[in-house]
Amino acid sequence: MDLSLFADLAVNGLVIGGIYAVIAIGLNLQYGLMRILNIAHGEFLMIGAFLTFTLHTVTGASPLLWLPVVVALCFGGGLLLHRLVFRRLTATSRSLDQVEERSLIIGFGLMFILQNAANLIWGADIRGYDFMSEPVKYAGVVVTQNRLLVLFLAVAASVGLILLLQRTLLGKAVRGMLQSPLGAWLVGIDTQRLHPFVFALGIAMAGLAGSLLSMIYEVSPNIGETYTVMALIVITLGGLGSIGGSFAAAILLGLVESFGTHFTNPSLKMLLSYGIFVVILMTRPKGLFAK
Amino acid sequence: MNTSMLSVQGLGMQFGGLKALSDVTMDVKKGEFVGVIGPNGAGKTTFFHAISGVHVPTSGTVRIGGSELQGKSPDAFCRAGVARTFQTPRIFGDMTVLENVRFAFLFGNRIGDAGLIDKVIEETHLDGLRGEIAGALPPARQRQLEIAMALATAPRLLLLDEVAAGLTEGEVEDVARLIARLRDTYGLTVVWIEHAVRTLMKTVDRVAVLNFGQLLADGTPAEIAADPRVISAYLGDEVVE
Amino acid sequence: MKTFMSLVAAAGIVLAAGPWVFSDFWLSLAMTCMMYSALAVSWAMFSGTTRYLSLATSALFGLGTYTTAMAMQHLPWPLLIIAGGLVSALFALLVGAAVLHLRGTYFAVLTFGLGELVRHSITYTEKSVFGTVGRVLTEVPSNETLYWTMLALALLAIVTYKLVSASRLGMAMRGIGADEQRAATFGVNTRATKLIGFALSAWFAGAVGAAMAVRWTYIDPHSAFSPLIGFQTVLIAMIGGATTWRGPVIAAIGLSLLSDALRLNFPHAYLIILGVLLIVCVLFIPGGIASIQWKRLFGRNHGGMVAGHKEAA
Repeated sequence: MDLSLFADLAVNGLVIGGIYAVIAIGLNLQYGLMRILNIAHGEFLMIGAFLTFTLHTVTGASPLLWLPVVVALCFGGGLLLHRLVFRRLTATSRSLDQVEERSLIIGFGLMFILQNAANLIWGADIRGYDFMSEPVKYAGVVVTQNRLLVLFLAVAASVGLILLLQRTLLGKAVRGMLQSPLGAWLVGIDTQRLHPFVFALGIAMAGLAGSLLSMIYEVSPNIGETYTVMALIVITLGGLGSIGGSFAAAILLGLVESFGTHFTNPSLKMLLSYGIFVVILMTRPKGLFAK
Repeated sequence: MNTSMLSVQGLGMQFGGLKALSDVTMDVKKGEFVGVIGPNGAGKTTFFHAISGVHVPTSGTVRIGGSELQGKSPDAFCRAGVARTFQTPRIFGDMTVLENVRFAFLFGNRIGDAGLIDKVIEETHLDGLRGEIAGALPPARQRQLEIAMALATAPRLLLLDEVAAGLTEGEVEDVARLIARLRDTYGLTVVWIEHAVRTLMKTVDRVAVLNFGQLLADGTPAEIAADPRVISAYLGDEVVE
Repeated sequence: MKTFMSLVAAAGIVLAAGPWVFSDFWLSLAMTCMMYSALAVSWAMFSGTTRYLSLATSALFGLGTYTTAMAMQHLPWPLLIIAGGLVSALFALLVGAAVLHLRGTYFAVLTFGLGELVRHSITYTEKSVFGTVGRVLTEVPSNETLYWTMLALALLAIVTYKLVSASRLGMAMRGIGADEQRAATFGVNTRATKLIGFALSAWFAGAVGAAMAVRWTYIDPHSAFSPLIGFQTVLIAMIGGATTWRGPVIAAIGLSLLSDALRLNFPHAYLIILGVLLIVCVLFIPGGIASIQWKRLFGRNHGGMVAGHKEAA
């Protein structure tokens, strides 16, 4: 394989892996902390993508400018969603297992609501826009600028979040809650206020992933489900609750997908990822990187 | 020739960095009545989990009636004749008392005389409560129900985990007498975890003491009561008669 | 049990007169009601009792549809339906063998993506192996035949639910739903129980899919594996009450009527409404309609088993 093909596949894999990382970390935060299995997660990616698309095409301003706005909107939406739905869910469930079960069904319903709302608002067609699609040459490798940008931003966001969790007091509180909800509460961490925050943060990450995605790919109202499935595969591979694990697993999956589908067939992308998923579930259900 | 009912060798249970059990070796013969005591967190319940298929031991072997069973599913242990209760009673809360016992009988009993159901309900003093919803019963009754369910599976080895918790001294004595009687009636081998050490030591044939996941001592009640390691670790001077 | 069977038989005879009584429109609506009754009741039979939530109904239904599409020429109608069910049941066994021994979450997550996965795989196979995108059904049985088939499947689903409920399998599944590990300590072979339960439930999804295939003369992966079918199945079962058979049947009828009324005028909005309905149901009436009725009629549970399984005495 010549260098340029290799580099092309590698960059592709990293870019898609980066997007997987952002969305998977968001899902992992929600699940790891609150056992909320939000299978509508990918729909927020779709919403983020569409919001960016609309804001960019309507105003003409760069999507990069709208990125933080979209993320903030998704964060706000997440807070609202938590207040309306998930707060009651956690309050009325008798066990964490019940929260998981019920959030699954709720997510299922949410998925249909969001997909069809998007269909109503934007129509079912595939939408896309051109953004920084001029190629750039570096060390003999040709890559479009937007991909590099997306990769950079995705990695920056993921690393930024990991650092937030590791270094800041807030992050330590969240990690404490991830490890032991009761222990965290006992030491005075305000779990009541942190729950909506973390939940909304997860949604915001999905929106961010979608916004980034819109810069390089075309989007339609039904892309959400695939990304939800991918995010689920990633967090299983990386170990539920392990944010760093999700990051690593996402990059890995992105690369495997890129190289794997090149050698087999692009339509088999799902089959490949699923196959990996099933194998991991059967052999190491705690994830590749679990302690 | 093999009279061993339960035999564990080098049993270990590790959760991440925590060694809940390490290198426990013990043998319980058919028909023996063994008590297991130790401070909280000593690994007593973990020990039960490891010998009933609820946990897969990280090291060591578990033999029930001579057959190696570690790593097998809980239903394999049930088929081998193991029945147990849990510290917090795990019964089927939405079913009635009778349905609970029937459940245990249907799935756990290989021999199959349905008269056993009524018999165990009577013996655990649940006779007037057959139609009650199990989840609505007070904890002491639920513990009785668990024992009835365990017996309904016609076990060879009965594992009782703190069935006398929260009872007055008189009630604990009643429980001890009940267990001893059941052991005689059904020809059981019994392993009993309990904090009511005084009563336990008066009832059992042998006592095993766990501390920090290790087997500290294993002997007759008299030997254990006199053992200085046990006294300093758990019993204190008051129990020594 | 005897009264139940007689009632079922009576209902069967009465409803069988449908083709001569109903207009085409009502006949079609009746078929939709029966389809969702069969799907929701069989879903509740496994997922409602064991609490292993399967989101695979779309995949299983589609497999049945494709069985018809591919084997229509070679099999007589009754065998075709049975075969469609068997294909799905076999697939369910495979999937189950891979993940049913893990926690319910993994199972739900895996079944969630199955619809997409199977659809992609079929699309790929059709293109590369058969060189087609979709298939056309040339000779289809009459509308009456389809109606009676759906009636038979719906009644069969209800009877199966009732029989399983009263059987050892049903008891084992309820034990798993209540406390799986505990059930195992009492001797329940949880793995085998779940596999059988899932496969049985899957058979119905496949059989229904095989039958409904003839409603569309053109079969392609997109229509056969429509996620809407899986969604409505879960919705109906949850709203009706996932631990009974009566609940799903009532909800199936109600929802089919509602959907039909709304779908024509608000094709996307009505799906949003259904989604909201599902969320409201989970949050406020987790036991579904069936749970409300029982509480009002009987007050406290009198020696019944898991709420709603009064059939299994």
